[in-house]
Amino acid sequence: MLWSKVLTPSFLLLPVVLAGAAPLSAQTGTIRGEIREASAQNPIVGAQILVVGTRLGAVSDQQGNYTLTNVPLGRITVRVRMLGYSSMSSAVDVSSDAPATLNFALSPSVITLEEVVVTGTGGAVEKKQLGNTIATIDSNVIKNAPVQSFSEAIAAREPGVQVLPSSGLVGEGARIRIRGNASLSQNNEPVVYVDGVRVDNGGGFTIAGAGGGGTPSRLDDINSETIERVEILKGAAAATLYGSEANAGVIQVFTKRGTAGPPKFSFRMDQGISRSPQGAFKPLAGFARYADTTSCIADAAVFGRTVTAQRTACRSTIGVADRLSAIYGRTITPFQVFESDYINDFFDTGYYSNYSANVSGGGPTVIYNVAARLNREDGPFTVNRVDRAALANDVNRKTFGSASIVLFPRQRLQLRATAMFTDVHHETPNNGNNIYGVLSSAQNSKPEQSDCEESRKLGLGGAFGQDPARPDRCAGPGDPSGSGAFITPREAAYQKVAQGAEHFNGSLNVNYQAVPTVKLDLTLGMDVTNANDFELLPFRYNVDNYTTNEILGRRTVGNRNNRQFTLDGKATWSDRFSQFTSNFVVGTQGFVTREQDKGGFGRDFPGPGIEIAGAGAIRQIQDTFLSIVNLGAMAQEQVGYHDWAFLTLGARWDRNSAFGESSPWAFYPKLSVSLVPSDLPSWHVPQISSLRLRAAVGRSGQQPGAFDKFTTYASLPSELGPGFQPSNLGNDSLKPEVSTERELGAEVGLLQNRLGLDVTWWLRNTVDALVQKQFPATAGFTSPQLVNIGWLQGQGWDFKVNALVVDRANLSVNVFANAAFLSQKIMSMGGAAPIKVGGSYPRYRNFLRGPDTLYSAPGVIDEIRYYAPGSLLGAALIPTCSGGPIYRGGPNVGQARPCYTPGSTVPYDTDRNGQPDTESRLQFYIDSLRTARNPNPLDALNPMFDDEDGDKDVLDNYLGKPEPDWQGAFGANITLRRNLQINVLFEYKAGNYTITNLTDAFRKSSPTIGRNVRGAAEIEATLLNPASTPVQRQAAAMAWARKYKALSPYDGLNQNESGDFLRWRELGITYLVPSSIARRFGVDNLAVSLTGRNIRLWTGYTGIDPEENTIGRGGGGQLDNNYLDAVDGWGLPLPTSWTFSVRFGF
Amino acid sequence: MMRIAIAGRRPRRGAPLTAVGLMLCVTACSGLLDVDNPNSVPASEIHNPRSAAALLSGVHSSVSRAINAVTLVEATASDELDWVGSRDAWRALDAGNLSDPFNEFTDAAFPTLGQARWFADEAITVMNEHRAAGRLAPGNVDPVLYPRAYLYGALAYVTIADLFDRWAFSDVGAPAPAIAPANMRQVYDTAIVYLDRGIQYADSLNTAGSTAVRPWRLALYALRARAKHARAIWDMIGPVPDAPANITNGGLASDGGAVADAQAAIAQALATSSLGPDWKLTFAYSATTIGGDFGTWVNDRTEMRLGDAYVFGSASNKTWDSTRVLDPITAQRDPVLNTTATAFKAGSVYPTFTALSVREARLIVAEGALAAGDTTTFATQINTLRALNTLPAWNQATPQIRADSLLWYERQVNLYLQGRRLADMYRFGIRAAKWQLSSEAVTQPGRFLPITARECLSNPLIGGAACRI
Repeated sequence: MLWSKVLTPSFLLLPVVLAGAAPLSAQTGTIRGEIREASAQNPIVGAQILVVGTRLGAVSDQQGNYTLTNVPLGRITVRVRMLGYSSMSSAVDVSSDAPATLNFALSPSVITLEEVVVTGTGGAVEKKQLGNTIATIDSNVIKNAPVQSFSEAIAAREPGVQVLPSSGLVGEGARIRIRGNASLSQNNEPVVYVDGVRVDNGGGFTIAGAGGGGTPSRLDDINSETIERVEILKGAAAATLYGSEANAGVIQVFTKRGTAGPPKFSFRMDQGISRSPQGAFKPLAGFARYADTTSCIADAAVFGRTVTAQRTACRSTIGVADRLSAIYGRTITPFQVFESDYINDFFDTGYYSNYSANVSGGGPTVIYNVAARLNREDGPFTVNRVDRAALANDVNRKTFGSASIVLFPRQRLQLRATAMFTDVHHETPNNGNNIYGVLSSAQNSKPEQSDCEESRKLGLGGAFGQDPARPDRCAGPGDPSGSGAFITPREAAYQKVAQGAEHFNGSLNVNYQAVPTVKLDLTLGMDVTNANDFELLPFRYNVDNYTTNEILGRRTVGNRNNRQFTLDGKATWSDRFSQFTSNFVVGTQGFVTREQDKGGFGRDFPGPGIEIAGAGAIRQIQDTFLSIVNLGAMAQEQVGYHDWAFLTLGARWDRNSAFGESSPWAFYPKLSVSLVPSDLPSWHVPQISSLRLRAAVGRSGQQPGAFDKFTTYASLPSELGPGFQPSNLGNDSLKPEVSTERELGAEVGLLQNRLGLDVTWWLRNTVDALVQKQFPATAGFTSPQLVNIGWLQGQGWDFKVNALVVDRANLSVNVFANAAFLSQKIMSMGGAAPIKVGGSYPRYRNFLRGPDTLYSAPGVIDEIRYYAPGSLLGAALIPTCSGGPIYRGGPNVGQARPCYTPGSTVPYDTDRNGQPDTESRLQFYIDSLRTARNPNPLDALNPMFDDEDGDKDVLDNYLGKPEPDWQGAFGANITLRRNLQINVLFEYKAGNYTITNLTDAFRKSSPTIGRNVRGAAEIEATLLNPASTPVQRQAAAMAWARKYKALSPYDGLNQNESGDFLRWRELGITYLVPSSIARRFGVDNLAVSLTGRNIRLWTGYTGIDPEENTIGRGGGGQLDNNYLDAVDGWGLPLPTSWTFSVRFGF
Repeated sequence: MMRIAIAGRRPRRGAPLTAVGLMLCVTACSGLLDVDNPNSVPASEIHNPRSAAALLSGVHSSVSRAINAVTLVEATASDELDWVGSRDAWRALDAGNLSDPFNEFTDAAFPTLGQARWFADEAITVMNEHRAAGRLAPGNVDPVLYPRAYLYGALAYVTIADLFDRWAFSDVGAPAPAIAPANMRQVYDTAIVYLDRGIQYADSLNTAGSTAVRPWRLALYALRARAKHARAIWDMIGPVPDAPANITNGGLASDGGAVADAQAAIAQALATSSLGPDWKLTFAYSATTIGGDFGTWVNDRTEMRLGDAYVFGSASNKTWDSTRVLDPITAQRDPVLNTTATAFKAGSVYPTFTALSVREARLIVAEGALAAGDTTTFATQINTLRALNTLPAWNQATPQIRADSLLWYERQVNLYLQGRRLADMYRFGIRAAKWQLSSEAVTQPGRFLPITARECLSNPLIGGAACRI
């Protein structure tokens, strides 16, 4: 089976199929036949067979056979359609005497113009009739792929659809972006529907949490194995009919329905392992300053300490060689950098198992599909090697159940009911940019501070309290990692974070063919999520006597109850008028979202064992309620001309509770044109088998938060009683932001549709963009207020190439590639000041900023610089003088700005004269640092800031953007000897893609938690070592400025890297056991697979993983979720996983 | 589009039209769009007499949160706290650099005081509305709320004047320009006007026999004494950086009004058994009300610890083992500081904050006397203060320590972690060992906190350039 050979959704034609089973007339006949591939002669399963001019139809079975009954007598034309193949029509004479035979041999086609879609179209329609793009992903695409979740199912399948994982923690959801970001302040996650019912697309924890990563996505509650098909609307032009919530795109998931016939059972079992990639974490590097404790104590004055205090410090916080040699079990000498691989103790082999079962079948009046799945994964993170009693874990367990039943009580009536239920248990360690995280504390440790003093005090272990059996461990309590602050990794591992969630989605759909030309469709549904989280710090979890954080314990609990109700009704009138066709749709949609979040904490337990929030001596509770109602009406007319030219005109009217009951209607129009000249009878271009040209323009919107409009005060009790405080400033004129998207595209099929090209250009302008504007804090209301003042522009190209390179009986090779180019600019912030992402934390440098004007001379505009949303602004080192750098703004515009000339001057101004020092001056300064008052000379070695725009703000230098210009995927699907299928998929990001490597910024620069990569340790050792030469010390100082100095007040300096990467994302090797052999095992079909995920990474990025991000889905505020991108913050690398699978059915 | 042919039934054209009509009706259900917000109080409620107590309670929390937040910044810059953590912005303050508007912690503390000042003024406005409407009466709006509103307003203003070089007094929808450093004295003036009004009304309630007003009346007097005393200090160091500090009389402040108010406060405290000779106005913090930055950053995250000038650090240097300050007369560990430090540590995340005290009132009287050369009054006040902790008296005739040194010392230990230290260090010429020689605290004594980035980038009358001074 070719990767691209996806099935047309058979459910769209089910009424047709069943109609074929019902007797219409006594004078009818039967047509039988088989559908096979033209070259390989393999049977084609699931092809649609239609009797032209009637509603009669059938679907081919596992052997490619079909039967049409009740066929009118006479000359009958039958048409066969199957995605991945060219459609084909043929005529046959039907009589009542005997069944007619009509076989089809379909030629492969990589062009899918006849694929039927329904999302955003008002009804089932062929793709070729639409002027906009709709991406589709079929279950066959992911069947042989290493896919465990919905996020993985859609990742790397379509250009412009970004799936952003955040770390290698199991069960972590990915953020999804379609064509970048359409909003500066509102949710940029697409709206997601399952079988027409909107689902909770949230994620993360409630008030409990783990620090950034490991955040689950509610979309991953969708069982990826029940997905029949996914349709993706990429932008406003396609999503207009979804109105005020569709700025960010729409995803609709269709679940399996089954087919008529006897019960068919299918089963799947997977067993897998996962490993974190070797070398993802740099070893911890440090050095000893003293040979022994005595010499350390003698230097008390150097540190400004009393002898007593110095003695204590020498035993714990200062590197002393004799202690370190004992603890590490090897000889460590002063000023010689040594390394520890303590971090790796937190990794082991992870395990994965999956069991699923499915049964489907039915008869003339009912079809059904029932599925169940058990999924369990324990990731490579482990605490067992450090302390088996620790609680932190990295596991995810899910139980899925779903059922679909379709009834045909009358000939023109179809009823469908669906139910999906998922139960989740998820545990994740405290992680990410979190001073109490397990791996963050391990990565920030300083090996020279390794210390088993607490054990020594208790008389445990050797002379330094070390465990004689495992020298790099303490015999009892202690800090063998050398934590710089806050907590030891072992203590951090005693914290537990978990979530239990239940997710239900159900729908009822009625489809009624009122008259031959009019169809009514009504869907009612609800989606309910109930998620309970907790974070537990057990009583006296400070097992190393190190941390002071809430050592009497705390339990934080949170509950999120989200309910979404959907009402979707529409009427479709389809008719033909001479050479014109008309398809008119009118409908309405209503969505009600109700969410209640509540939780609290109790801290300071009375004793061990008690672990309930109510037992805490200090307690707090929270409770918030949210209700959003969206009502809309839509109308659309699509006119076709000779089945090759199509014009669509539609509109949506919308009202939202965010604006109250007196709000005006929001109006979103759309217009699109699709031309398929290759369908013209006169088309004779041998080289081009298929050609479609399309254009579309449309709008959709995004409403603000439910209560953003109102001026409100929030509860703020005092010791004297209940009270309140200013909260939301309010804005009476708030309205939805509006995105207008233009799209032009073409699809070309060459070489008999064996080579397909698909290209789309798009341009999106979001005007009246909602900006979180900060108003003066001195005016009382300190929170930002939404104002419709922004303008965000995005444009890009989507490319797809699909080629059937080889198509022989024993070998078929299909290669494919997709690429998306994305350019985003903030055209205006409406005068609002730049907005920093990530709150006040200065080390996150992502900003929303309006355009700047830069000058090459006074009054001479050199450049208007537009910033991509989330652009990195921060400190930079003064440049070298080779390019003649000048001020590009400010009072000294056009004049030379400070620069240095390697070989004569340096990027330091230690004499504070505003000019770079000479090398000799720097040498003098370095020597002075090595005096008694400077035990940490690097802390006083501060390079010169650059200020390109001359505005004296040294933290606003442009340092890059967190989104690549290009991203996409490529791969191949190979079938050998009909039974062996090999699928490979590579994914890449490239071009102006900058990652904030915050992890290494700390590990290079922070004197207390970090400065423990080899280079930084060597620099510090060089400056402190009395034996180092002046040349060595100067070289160290230069390296410090250019490669290592980071963090405040130099936020942004030396922490950004190119994030370009290529990742071998998927490998699937599947063997379809021949039927003859399968039957020996009592089954009809049997397949075994070996699949791998995240197999190899090619990148120049030096951090943990270029796909790691400091927050995961729902892991922060809305602004952070939108734009805190590409920040490497102590996460886990994506693990490499291998899975062995068996599938069989009967 | 393929036309669908079907045999048999007659089309029923009314059905689709009915269905369409029903669908459109759904969208017309405007009532569904009227959604309640149970999470917040609507703006109109602050003028409701029934909300008056909650309004003042909220102002109380808002002011106490702000004082806690900005005082932590001041304490880090002074020698009261030492940075031992990982966040560099605390380190910048610790080293004596205060004027960076982008310092994340100064910038985070700034809006709390911005809100507190505005909200307290709003409460005064509302309370005056109630007073004008005759609602201040038992059973309606508690009359004690009226002087409380002025107390909170004055507290906010005094804190601004004490700890900031500049400020802007904006209102909702009406940004205001910044007051220049040289003009910040008027902020004290406003506070004193507020206190005059509050005291006037509190006096009348007290005269009418109200016992509930007495602690608030005492606080008003104590704060007015502090405000006038602080204004006198400002006259020496306040105009920095517009003008250099002008320390006179050894840094001793002398203000007759401050002394008179302090004496009145002392008298009230002694006269009321429920208040007592060691009365304090404290702010409490808790999980169910508001948290305080001091507890979070110092006791919980251990980003700072009590300074080396006050304590011996622990082995990890993240906290402290014992206090090191010795009483200059006994040469023993100072009990006042020890008690304060111990209580602070025991308070964990929620240590209590002292805003006003009889001790401070006595120190103000003592300083006024010393400035005037009246060592007898000085001795009386200082020894009464010391007697609270059963410390031996200072001998006026044969002083064990110079009087001014004793004053410095007593202010250091009795006002520990109350936000007075940096000004005292400036005016008494005390330099913290941790300050970098090039820092503002050393090179520009008198320098306090700036209007921070959040304000100057959002206030068009200040302008972004003001962020880069």
